[in-house]
Formats: sequence, C-alpha cells, structure tokens
Amino acid sequence: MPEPVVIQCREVNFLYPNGVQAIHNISLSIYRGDYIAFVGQNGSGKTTLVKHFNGLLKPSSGSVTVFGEETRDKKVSYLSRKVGYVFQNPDDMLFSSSVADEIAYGPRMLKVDPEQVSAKVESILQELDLKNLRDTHPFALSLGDRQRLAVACALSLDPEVFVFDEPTTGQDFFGSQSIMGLIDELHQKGKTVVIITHDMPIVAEHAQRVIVMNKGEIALEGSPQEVFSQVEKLQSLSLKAPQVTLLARALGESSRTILHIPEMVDWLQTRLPVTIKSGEELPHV
Amino acid sequence: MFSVSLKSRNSPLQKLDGRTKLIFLAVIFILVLLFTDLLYITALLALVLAAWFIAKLPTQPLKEMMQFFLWIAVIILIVQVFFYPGTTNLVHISKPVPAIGFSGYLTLEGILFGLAMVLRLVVIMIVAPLMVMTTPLPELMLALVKLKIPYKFAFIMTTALSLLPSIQNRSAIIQQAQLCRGISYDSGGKFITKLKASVSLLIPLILGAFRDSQTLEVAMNSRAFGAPIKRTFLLESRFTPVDILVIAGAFMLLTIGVMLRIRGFGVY
Repeated sequence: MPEPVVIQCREVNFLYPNGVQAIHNISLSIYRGDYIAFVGQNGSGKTTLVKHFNGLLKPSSGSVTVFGEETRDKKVSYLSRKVGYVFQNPDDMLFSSSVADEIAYGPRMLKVDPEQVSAKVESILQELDLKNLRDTHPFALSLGDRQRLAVACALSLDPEVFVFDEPTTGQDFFGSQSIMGLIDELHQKGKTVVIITHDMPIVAEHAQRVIVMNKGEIALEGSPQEVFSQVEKLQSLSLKAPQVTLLARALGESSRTILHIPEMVDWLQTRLPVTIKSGEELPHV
Repeated sequence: MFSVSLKSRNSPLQKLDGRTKLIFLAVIFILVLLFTDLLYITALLALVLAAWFIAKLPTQPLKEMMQFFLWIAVIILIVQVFFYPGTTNLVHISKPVPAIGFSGYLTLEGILFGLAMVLRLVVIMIVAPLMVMTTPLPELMLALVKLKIPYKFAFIMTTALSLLPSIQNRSAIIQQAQLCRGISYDSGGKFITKLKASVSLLIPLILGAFRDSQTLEVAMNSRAFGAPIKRTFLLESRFTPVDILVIAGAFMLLTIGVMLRIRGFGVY
C-alpha cells in the first residue's frame, strides 16, 4: 500500500509580479517518507516550486495542499509546523544571542509552553550535536555549525516535512558530509525530505526520487537510476550525470546505471582481474 | 516595499540628461520647502505627478509609498491640526492648554497647514524615486561629476542607490526565512511581539549589509579606488535642445517662486 500523500500540487502555475511565469502547470505528489531531490539549471523554477510547499508562495492558478489543507488560505507561520524550510544561507535565519535562544525562538513565537520549549531545546541540542555550543553566539560558529543550527531551528517546530534549499553550497567536503548525514538521519526517523541541489553525486548517493526541472516544468522524474540513465536527455537540459555513471558507460556498462564508487568497484571486479582487499575502505563519492 | 531601480525606458524623461533631472529635482525641493500654502504645494505635487506619468512609470510604487506613508501622514496631520495657532475656529475640542500651544479649537488654518505639510512630504517622497527610476546609475554618476560634485561623494551616492534593490531582495528573503520559523509579521497582537519580530528581520539584514560593505571595500581597493588619476568616462553626456528648455523652465519656475515668496505669497 503506498504511503499517504503529504504534499499535492495540482496544475500549479506561478506568475511573478513582473510577469515572468516561473511555474507551468505542474502536478506532483509527495508521499510520506519520500527523499526527493529537485535538480535543474538556475532559473528552472526549483526554488519557486518548493516555496509553494509551505505557503511562502501561493499558486497563481491550481492548488497546493499540505496534509490535505489548501495552502492558499493558510499563513506560513501555521504551515511551518508541518513543513520546515531551511534556506541556503543560514545567516538569513539567525539573529539571537545564543544557540539555545535561537532554537527556542520559533516555539516561543508560537506560544508553546516554556517548559516544553526548554525540553525541546535540550533534546535538539543533543540530537544535532550542538550541546557544547549552547551558549555560543550563532555568528561565532563555523558555516557548517550555522547550517546545523538553521536545521535545528526548523526542527524546533517539529515538522513532518523538511525542505533544504542547496544545503551543501559553500561547504567543504566534511561540511557537506556532515549536513547530508544529518538530513539522512531525519529521513531515517521517518521525516519526508525535499532537497534542492546542483550536486549530482549527492543526489545519486542520498535521494530516492529525482525531479529534474526545466523552464518551470518537470522535464524528468524517477529514481536516481532512471534519471541518470538518460545521459543525453540530461545533457540537453545542461545537466550531467555523476562522473562514476559516465565512466561506467564509457567502459561499456549498459545494462544498469552505476551511481556509486562501491558499485563501480563491484562491477569492475566482475570484468577485470583486480581484487579489492577485504576490509579496505573505499573512498566516498 | 517598492523597488527603487530603473523602471522607465524610452520615455521623454529617460532621454533627458542626468544633469537636467538633477536641476529639476533641486528646484522642486527648494520650492516645496519655500511654500507652506496648500494651493502652491498642490500645484507642485501636480507637476511631479505629471512628470511621473510622462515618464511612463508604473503606479504600483506610488500606491506602495502611500501605504507606507499613511500612518506618518495621520500623525503629522493630527499634530498640525491641533497645535497650529489658527484664527478661524471650527470645532471646540476642550479647554485651551497654553503649555503645549493648544487653543482648544480645531481651526481651518490648522487643517490647511496640516494638509500642506503632508503633501510637502509626499512631493519629497515622490520626486527622488522619480529621478532614480528614470536615470541609469552610470548616467546619474556622470551627471553628478559633471556638476562638479566630488567623485568620491558621487560614488557613495550611486553605490547606496545601487545597493538598495539588493537590500530589498535580501530583506524579502530574510522575511521569508523568518516566516518559516513561525514568525508572523502581519498578524495583529501585541506591540512587543511585533517589535521582536522586526528584530529577527533587522539583525540579519544589518549584519549582511556590513558583510557586503566589507566585500565592496576589498573589491574597490583591489581595483585601485582613489588612485590620483584623471578619470575618464565611457559615457558622454550632452545637453539637447529639450534639456535646455527644461532647465530654462525650471529656473523660470524657481525665479517666480522666490519672487512670490519674497512678496509674501504662498505662506500662511
């Protein structure tokens, strides 16, 4: 039995006040527990579309429902308890004088009982490994920690769905790994995750469903294997499959789409006289 | 909030030289500060609005400016209406309070003076965006330099103007980010709650502007800003016959205005 739909877009069109139509007639269902990556060129409408998921933007025509409720009639502050949105730049979200205050701010604004707020803050500090930084000023944190804090702020409202707009932009390798690990954990705990990214290896490694946007429309949709197998189509959309996928194709693998280095190594071992020592750590993509 | 950026293209105002528009702006500023009579200020407002429509500018920014200004206008009107020392009493309000200059009556002169002060601010509010929305920033910079304004000062002015749209964009993004945290800017509720909500907008906005200014400083230094050289400009500006006509008209208007003011017209 399929998971229930949490976000439903029906024939959504969106026109900016300057007359630019950013979204053209998009219909889409997001199910509980989905891990979706939106990819596409800049200006393809990814961010505009996902901003409809928590009512930041209202469709010019068509409808968006979140847990069965039409976003058109709802305030963002109400929908933020159902759909958490983490912006690309954490500095747009942070302003308090300590990490703990920053996390507590949202629930306090929503008039949550002070004792519950304290308990929530402590549990989030623990969960996101920010306990040692509880009294630190947010602007004294590293970019990676500020990004974690931005996630903590969204988490404090306990939403079912999380939207991450380019969560790894500007992060170094370990920062990216850390934030993606955190997003994976949220997904493993049953949250629905939507990410926007330009990083195809991240999509290949983490997402379960990929939606490729182009000129305000959905150009491709499917599992990472299905989407990244369409190398030529992706190229026509100015996108490129992960290098490991392209290498496997160049080496003659056509029966399946290889997305990760371990898969690549397994495949190579069936084709070449090489053995990988047992227990040897393979590099991550 | 409306965007203060170039909006008028291929309109008669856009084709005017930047210096002409700066002179027009200065004349309007002087005249509107010279008079306090509602009739004279209304005439100036009509002139500025006519220029707005000749420039084919959208009316949306005007509406947004007026919405923003409404509460300020109400406060100004109340203060002037009650505290202007008029002679034509209309309505008796209370006993006189000499300590704060309140006569106890609502006076005709008070109402007219209050309206004049409100319209004076409206003219000032409209005329500056009129200039910016019809003049590309490089042309504005050139106009300032040609009018012998020091280059550094001209640079500061145009940089501030060029940063306005990006600050407005960032403000909108921050506001969206805070809405996602459960903060509401538009709901009714206590003043303190609204004040707290505005802090969540202002701190990231101000810190972001500081960061941008530091980046700009590095970029300027790396491009040898302030080097002691004779500066040349890519653009050339020349007065056309229309410019001469507009400047002559502006000076004529200024002369008439000053003469009227000297003879005691246009003030209560």
